[in-house]
Amino acid sequence: MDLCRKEVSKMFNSVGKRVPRYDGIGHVTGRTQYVSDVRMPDMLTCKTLRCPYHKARIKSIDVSEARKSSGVYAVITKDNVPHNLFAMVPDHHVLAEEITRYKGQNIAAVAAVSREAALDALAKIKIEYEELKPVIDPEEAIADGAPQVRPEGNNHLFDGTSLVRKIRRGNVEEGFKEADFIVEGRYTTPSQEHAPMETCCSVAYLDASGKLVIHSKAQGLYFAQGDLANVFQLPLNKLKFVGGTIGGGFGGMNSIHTDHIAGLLALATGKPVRFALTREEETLFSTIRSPWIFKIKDGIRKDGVITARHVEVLHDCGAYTELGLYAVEKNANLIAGANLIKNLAVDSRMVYTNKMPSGSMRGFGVNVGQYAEQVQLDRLARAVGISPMEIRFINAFHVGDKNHTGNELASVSTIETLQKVAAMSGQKLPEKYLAMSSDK
Amino acid sequence: MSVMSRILKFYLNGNLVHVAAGEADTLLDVLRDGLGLTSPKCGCNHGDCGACTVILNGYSAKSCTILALTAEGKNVWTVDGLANGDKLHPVQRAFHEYGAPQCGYCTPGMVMAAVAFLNHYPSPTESEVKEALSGNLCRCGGYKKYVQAVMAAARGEFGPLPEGSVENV
Amino acid sequence: MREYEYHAPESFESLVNLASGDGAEVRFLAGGTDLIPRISAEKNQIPYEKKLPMRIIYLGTLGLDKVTEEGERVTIGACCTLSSLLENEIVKTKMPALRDALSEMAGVSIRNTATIGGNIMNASPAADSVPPLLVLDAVCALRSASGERRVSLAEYFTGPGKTVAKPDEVLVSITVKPGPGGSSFKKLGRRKAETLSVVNAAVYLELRDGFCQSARVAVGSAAPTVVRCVDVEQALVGKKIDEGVVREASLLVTKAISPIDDIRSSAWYRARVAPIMVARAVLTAAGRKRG
Repeated sequence: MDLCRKEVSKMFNSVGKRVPRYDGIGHVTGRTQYVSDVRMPDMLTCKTLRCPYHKARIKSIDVSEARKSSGVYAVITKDNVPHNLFAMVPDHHVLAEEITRYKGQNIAAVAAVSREAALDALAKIKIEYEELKPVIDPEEAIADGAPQVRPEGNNHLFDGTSLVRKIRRGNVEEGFKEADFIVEGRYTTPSQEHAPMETCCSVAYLDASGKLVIHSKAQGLYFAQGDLANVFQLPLNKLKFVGGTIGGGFGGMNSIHTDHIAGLLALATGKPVRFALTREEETLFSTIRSPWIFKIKDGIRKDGVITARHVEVLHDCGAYTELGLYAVEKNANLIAGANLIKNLAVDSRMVYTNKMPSGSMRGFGVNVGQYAEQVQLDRLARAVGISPMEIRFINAFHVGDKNHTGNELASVSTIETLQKVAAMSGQKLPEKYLAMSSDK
Repeated sequence: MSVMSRILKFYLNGNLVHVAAGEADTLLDVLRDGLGLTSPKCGCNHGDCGACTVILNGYSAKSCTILALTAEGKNVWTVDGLANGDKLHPVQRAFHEYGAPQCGYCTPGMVMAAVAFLNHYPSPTESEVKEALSGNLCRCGGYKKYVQAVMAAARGEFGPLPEGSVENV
Repeated sequence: MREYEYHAPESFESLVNLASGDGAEVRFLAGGTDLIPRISAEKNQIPYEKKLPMRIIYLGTLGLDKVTEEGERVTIGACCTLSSLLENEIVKTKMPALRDALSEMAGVSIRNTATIGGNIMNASPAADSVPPLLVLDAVCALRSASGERRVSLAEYFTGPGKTVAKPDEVLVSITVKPGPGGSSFKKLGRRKAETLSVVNAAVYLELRDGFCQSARVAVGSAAPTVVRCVDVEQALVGKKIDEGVVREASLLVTKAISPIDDIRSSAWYRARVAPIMVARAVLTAAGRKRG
């Protein structure tokens, strides 16, 4: 116990002090090795054939000429993938099946002695597409008769049965009856690319013992390792992931973009294979923070108390689930904000569209919801004729309140944060708000 | 292969090097793939991000916008040539001490842009430093510390800046 | 993959032989800050179409990087880098509009590489060096096997990316007559550095006792080429320059421009900010009157 206390106090020696980064010297001297800097002897370059349409049927594909192309060691399609599904929810195809679902989806991959040789080989792949009608807009995608993104439909079925993921607390209808004003708002957020300085990159090779080694930019190495062991159908002791310093992730490297294909080509050729995305590929075809649409309907009394809130959420997940489901869960739990709302209904839906899939990105699901919720709060304040600060004090959570999903809150600092914000921004608060505390 | 290549000769960090260069290769291609010098980074390959910044004949340049063969006979400095043994250049020390790099991928380019700038303008204002670094993107958002660190290096907080042009560093 | 060949001729005699093409697509390379990234992007594309070999002819070994002054005229070598011009005393003192433009183009590292000739030959409607050169009555010198010809910058551009220069003609220099008046350049970009103009404007003004004797106004990024705004000029000449006159005159800029929606901005927005850029440029130029 004493030893532990000593260690803890040592830890606080660093708080408030400038601590040099352990890898800082490497950064300023250029000696830090990033994944895109890894070079192996005899390393092959990978390039992929990507679907030029938002949605298409691959009527035929012939890679025989590409395989004969000069400098080519391997050309792979879905037929060469031991298990062609990956991702956190494993519904994403490593290489496209008959129907492609988004523009830029990988269809075939080449490993060759140079980038030029790889691209020349890709040009020799004979492929016949039938372009199909895509659906891009999430609200169009949930409408009747919309083009189907996936064979099972465009709506994600929660628990395999429900179109809507629900949170219910109190009685919303009763709450709206208590209200003096009803305020409705619709909020949307667009797609956003992570844009790390280093684009996605993998280097894969077989080591002397025959183990597949992948230098990866993955943010969750063990997620990726488990996922890809399944794709490669390799036992975990035959698959080694090497992480390290990466040139930025911002959530984008929670999804697999290059590790799977680099690994497959290393297995197919027995040689080191490097697969790096260009900036254009990274921007256009990697996972993103996907768009959201929020409809919030609030009931509020003249005294500023929110009596009821109904939130309808539509998450545009893109063509595959990736991390979209996780984002919807996080969003649903937090969309009602740091307010005690006694009558609450949250209905979240997730829809598939013919776009790149939804990945994780910096507070994914949460900050998009908070944007909507905070703007809505300001509108509520205007409706009642109180200040934006007041409405937040009036409805703030206190210690011991139950949050929107029924958990008792042990540590709450909404009121203290608001007081600090007011002080920092030079706003004068009425005495009653200055006297408030999160402890009831 | 149909792609031709030639022998390019230039001075890299003070030493004459010979390297095969394709007729349409960029200086960045040659440094990273021809010479295996991976300190200049490729962020966009489009002249936008500045991660590949080197010093070419005394001026900062984005090596992905330089056709390699035009560097024939010229002086190219990368971050590898700045430190004298373990003794870092004041700009490198400043970046490290101020904790400017986060993921660090933009850092080598940022160092070279700052060093070239200070060689020409040893007593800059803060807004001049911001302008000098404006072509170098940092996605982590470390701009403020980079600017503070360059100002500190200019003030001599990390020792005198080496005299003369970068060729004499 | 298409083939690329590189040449760095040291004389015009060897250049003209290369420039004839012989079945190759000839591209002149000055700084390369536009051309080289385009080539790099092309090298990352799947080569579905067979393309002619690209012959890259480097102009950096021909000594086209000088600024010379002869009487009232200043001649700028096409391969002068933007940075070298920014530091040039003649540019600094006699062509403030060009200096303004150079200081707002790209960022330092690109300015160290990019050339003024490249900016012109790229023929982007958003090229920042063009409006100031246009109001300074620039004349371009084009050289080829058949000799040299001079074309006024006002007649130089035929559309976005298009100029009157033939494929074998090299832009060697730009001659301007700085004149006794004041000039200025204003740019609206989406950010401060490393950005293309949403709208830009340059103005040259000669004043006597506060009255406008002569005016030249050009606006960029608001039409297929950079355009002169004759209506604005006429509305200024003969008037005493004050904010009211300038604001009213600047509104006439919409007669000269035909803005479009693109990735940088919308036609609607451009039409509204163009007069503001013009008005600011006029007022700054008026404050800079020389002589």
